[in-house]
Amino acid sequence: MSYEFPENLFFDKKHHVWCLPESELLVRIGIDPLGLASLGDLAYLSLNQNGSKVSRGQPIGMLEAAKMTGELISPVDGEIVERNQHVLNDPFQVNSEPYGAGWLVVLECENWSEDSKKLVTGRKVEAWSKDELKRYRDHGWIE
Amino acid sequence: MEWRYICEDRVSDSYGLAADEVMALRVGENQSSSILRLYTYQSSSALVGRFQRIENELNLDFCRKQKMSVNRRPTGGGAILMGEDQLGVALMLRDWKGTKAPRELMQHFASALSEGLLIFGIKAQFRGKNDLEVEGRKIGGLGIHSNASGGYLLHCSLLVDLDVTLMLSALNVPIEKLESRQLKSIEARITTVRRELQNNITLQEVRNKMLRAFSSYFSVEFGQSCYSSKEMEAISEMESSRYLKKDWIFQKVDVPDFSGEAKQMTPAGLLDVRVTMAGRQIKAVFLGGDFFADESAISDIEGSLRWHSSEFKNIFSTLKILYAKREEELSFLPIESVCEVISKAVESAKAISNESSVSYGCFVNPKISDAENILS
Repeated sequence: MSYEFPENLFFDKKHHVWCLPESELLVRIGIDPLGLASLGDLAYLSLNQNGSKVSRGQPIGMLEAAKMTGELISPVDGEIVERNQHVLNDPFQVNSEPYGAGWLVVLECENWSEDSKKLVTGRKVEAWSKDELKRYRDHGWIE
Repeated sequence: MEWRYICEDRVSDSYGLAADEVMALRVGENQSSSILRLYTYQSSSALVGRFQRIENELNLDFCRKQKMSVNRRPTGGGAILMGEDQLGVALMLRDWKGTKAPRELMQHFASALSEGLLIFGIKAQFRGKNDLEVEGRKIGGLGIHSNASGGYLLHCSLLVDLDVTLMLSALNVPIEKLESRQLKSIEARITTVRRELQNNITLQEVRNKMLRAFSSYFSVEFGQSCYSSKEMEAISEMESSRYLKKDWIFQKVDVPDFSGEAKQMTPAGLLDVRVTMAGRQIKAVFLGGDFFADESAISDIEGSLRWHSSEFKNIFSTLKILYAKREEELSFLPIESVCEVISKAVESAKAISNESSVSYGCFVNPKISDAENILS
């Protein structure tokens, strides 16, 4: 598995969730490859309904993966405006294309300019991802 | 360091599940120290895994007639029957010695359970995603759930005893089609503390030893505890908002279930493989046929592929590790043949979507002869 971290994305450091701002209001969200490495292959997935309000740090859905069940945590405040039906039917797409077809939801953000400050992006991504990769390797979580 | 110890008996399904989830949340929020909860459910409660299709997994007519409660766990895995002879072991923590990785926490949890069983002289080991086994026979089903507050719920249903006939009747296995020898075969894949010890040890004795083993393994003291009024309020709220709601218990799942099979002549003889899948993930593999190989090694292959990726390269690398460990016992059954037939069975499963595919539950892993009869 390759562990790439594109600099145009915004990463939640704690939950390994990525955000791609698509306009001033809309942000696409998915799980990054290190987040997936600690989960294993996804078997089942549920996402909150369109129209539901979510807060940063609160669940936007639940998953069952090879290693555990858990909650999918939102990196920003907002409202779900689109869910990826393809990954609901075939959650393994999240593993196979985490930054592409494996996206999870699109949120209409309440305050992206503030929330985005809590995320890692641009030139800071390289240093952060390097440290994270080292941490994961040191613990034996990835090869 | 002191952790909380909570002991309860004959709890209802909704209360039991709500208490596990609420307390794991509170531990995650640092509103409680880590907790070990050793408890039993009222006989009997049939609990499906987080994303299972309840109508596929349980014989709901039978459950209704038996006044057996049904519910949905927050943890994954197969359906289980819980009652007064099954010890629920729930450990709620944020981390342990800095470890937050779910797989590592699961290993520690399984090791503590194994130490508890070893006090009785029972040698158990953790295998696959969620199995605690004694010489290839399952004695406990494990699960792990993480929540938004950063807390983990690690859970085991430990079989002190089990009414296999009742379990098979409650699960969606057409028991009337099983011959007695097939029933015996299923029974042979499960074991219990009482069966291993060949005596009628009480559940309380098992509970006491588990408490001791967890204290020793995690190097902590346990203080007997009960819920605060705030905690009771939160449990009650969780019970009414989730575990008493039909929306939760009977919820629909988007990922389809599949099952498939493949047969192939190999240098070792005929290899007959059946798989059950959740989407692209293998739920279970059953190997049968007329080849010659050690029974426990075959059971190891099946166990290592439970809840496993269905990608050929991943199956091959998992089996390669297993073959390295059990070279002699598996020497008659080439790894290439096994991987090839499993892949064909996976492909056949993907080709046929079967919304009502047979499931066997957490503690049932029949030999191929049983599968044939169940599926026919």
